[in-house]
Amino acid sequence: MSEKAVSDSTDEQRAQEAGTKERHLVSRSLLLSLIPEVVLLAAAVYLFVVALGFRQVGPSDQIGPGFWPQVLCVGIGIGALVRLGQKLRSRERRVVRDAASEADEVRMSRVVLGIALVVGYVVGMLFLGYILATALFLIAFIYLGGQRKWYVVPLGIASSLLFAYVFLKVVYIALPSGVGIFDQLTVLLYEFLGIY
Amino acid sequence: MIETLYGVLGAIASIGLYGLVLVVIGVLLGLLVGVLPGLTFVMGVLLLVPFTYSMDTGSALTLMLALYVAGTYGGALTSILLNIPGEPNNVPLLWDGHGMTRQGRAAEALGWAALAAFAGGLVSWVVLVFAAKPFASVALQLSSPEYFAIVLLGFASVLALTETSVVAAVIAMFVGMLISTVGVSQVTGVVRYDFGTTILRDGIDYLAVMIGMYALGEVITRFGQNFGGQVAQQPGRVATTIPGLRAIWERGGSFLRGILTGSLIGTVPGAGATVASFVSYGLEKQFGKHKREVGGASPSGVVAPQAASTATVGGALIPLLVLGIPGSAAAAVLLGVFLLHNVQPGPQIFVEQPELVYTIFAAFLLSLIFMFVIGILGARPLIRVLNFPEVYVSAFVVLFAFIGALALRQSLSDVWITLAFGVIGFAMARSDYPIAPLVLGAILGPLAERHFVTTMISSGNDWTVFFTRPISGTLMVILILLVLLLGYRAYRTSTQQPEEPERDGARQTEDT
Repeated sequence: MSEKAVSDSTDEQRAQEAGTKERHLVSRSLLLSLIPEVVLLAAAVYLFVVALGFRQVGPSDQIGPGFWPQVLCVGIGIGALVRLGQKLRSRERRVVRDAASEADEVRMSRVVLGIALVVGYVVGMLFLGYILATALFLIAFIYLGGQRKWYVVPLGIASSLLFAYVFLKVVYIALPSGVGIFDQLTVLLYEFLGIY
Repeated sequence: MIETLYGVLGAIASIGLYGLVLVVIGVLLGLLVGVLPGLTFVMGVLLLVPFTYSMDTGSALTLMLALYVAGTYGGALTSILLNIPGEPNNVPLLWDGHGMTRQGRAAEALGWAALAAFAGGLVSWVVLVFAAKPFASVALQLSSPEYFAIVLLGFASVLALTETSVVAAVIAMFVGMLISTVGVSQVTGVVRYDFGTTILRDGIDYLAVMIGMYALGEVITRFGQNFGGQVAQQPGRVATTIPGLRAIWERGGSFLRGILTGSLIGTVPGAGATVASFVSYGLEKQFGKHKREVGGASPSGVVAPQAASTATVGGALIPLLVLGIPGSAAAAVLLGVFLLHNVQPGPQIFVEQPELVYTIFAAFLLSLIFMFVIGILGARPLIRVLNFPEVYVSAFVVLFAFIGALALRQSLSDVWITLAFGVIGFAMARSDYPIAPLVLGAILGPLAERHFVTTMISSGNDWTVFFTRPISGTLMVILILLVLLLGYRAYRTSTQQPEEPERDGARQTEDT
């Protein structure tokens, strides 16, 4: 076989492999894109069934508390089915990346990190109290957000104390004080700030 | 009319130093929020909520209204000078506004934007002041069937103006309405969808949903992008030149189209400054006297969208005050403030608390004046704020968001709800589901259910009553025509070639 024929055959093989890869990519992309509608449909069915069990109040011929939620569940279910149909019909979706959108690309690992930070903040508020949790959150968020300056730590602490003072003393919002030793620490800080 | 005028003048005269300070603070915050990327004026108004607890209703509304008004204009500065839209409603200003800057006409562009914002707001203020009370008199005649029809029409209008798939918007709206059914039913008193938990038994406050979706959802997205995006290059000299009378007369049509568009669209629940701005720009490009210039560096391309943006404020306040139905996302937050202070907006407020209504009118007018003056004088320092890294702003947005949620009912349940909806908001944006209809559904769902069920009970389950009463019948016919139009649009979209979905279009930030 001549060199050119071998080269052409290799190129054809590569093109076929690329085509197969792209088809797998499109299929995977399509399946992933169907997840929201499947979840919505499942939730609509489940919530419809739950609504059947709402206690009827008043005469039996009167609209009960379950009527309105059931109508909404039916609407969501139909809508989800229509969206599923639309997406399945447009199977030739291609994932196109253009240079302009690269800069705005969301990285899921960072999204998970961001969510973990805010969840950690809320949990921290419960156990550590507002002041400590807020300081830790600010420092971690700003640091992991790319600003690794020396003043991030004092800024986090000062902001936390300031927020606590303003919202407790000026706006009168009851902030979580934590549990156990952290509750005692919070009380000490409140005394330091002149709140107690 | 004379009585209204005296009332407004009296309110302006009696606003006092405290009121003026609140207006100035609100305007400064609104301009700042408008300039800062990652912060919309809806988020700004939302994040102010906790600060208003210790204030009286009038002061709270003054502060938030000032931020709302100025927030519709603040982003124009960065759009024109730096080609960075500070707010979604300022995107159209990139095309002509920044075009004028590239031609060395930045001062002129800033002048047109400032004047358009002031004119748009002023005319919509006049409409609000003199039309609200007559509308309220009519609204007092309305009953449950009419209110139900109005709410449905509001829903349909939002769907008609959505930039994304109509089906996705409908689903989002129904989900929002379903969310509003969680907790104790207003009509029957039965607990629904609590699944045995206290968090859900207390119901889901729509403000917690809004804070989660608009504020937290955006922060999660920006964190995921590592706060990437355009970096602002500081401009050289920043000045503003107010156009002369002749030039203003020449662009009179652009002003008029922008103001009318904004005032009308502002009354539609769920359609606010962003929709008005784009629609107005589109109209200018199609029908404007200078349509050939629009898209290059035409003042008309600045005037129309900016006038429309600020005019939506007055438009949004009309249904809020007259019917208790918010005409925009920011108006929905104002509704929340009313309710937090145990005031139910609606036609009766003009009779029972006219001084509060006049205070709102006065605050709106003063906010416009200060927005114009401070916007011109403060352009340079406001632009400098962009040097501040976005991560700091986002971190504090999270703090304010959770404080706002905590302050709603002094309960950590709302914080968890806010967090959950922050994640849901992010997921929705990624899946091309618009947020605005969901939030609208959460706000208006209880109203729709209450009026529907009340009508059915009082009419003995006779659904034809919606069509036999003259006003509700007329509204239902309009609704049916609108639904048919939406159905046709949805069918056309589904039979067209699939396009790559636009992530920014799915997140109608601000507009609900």
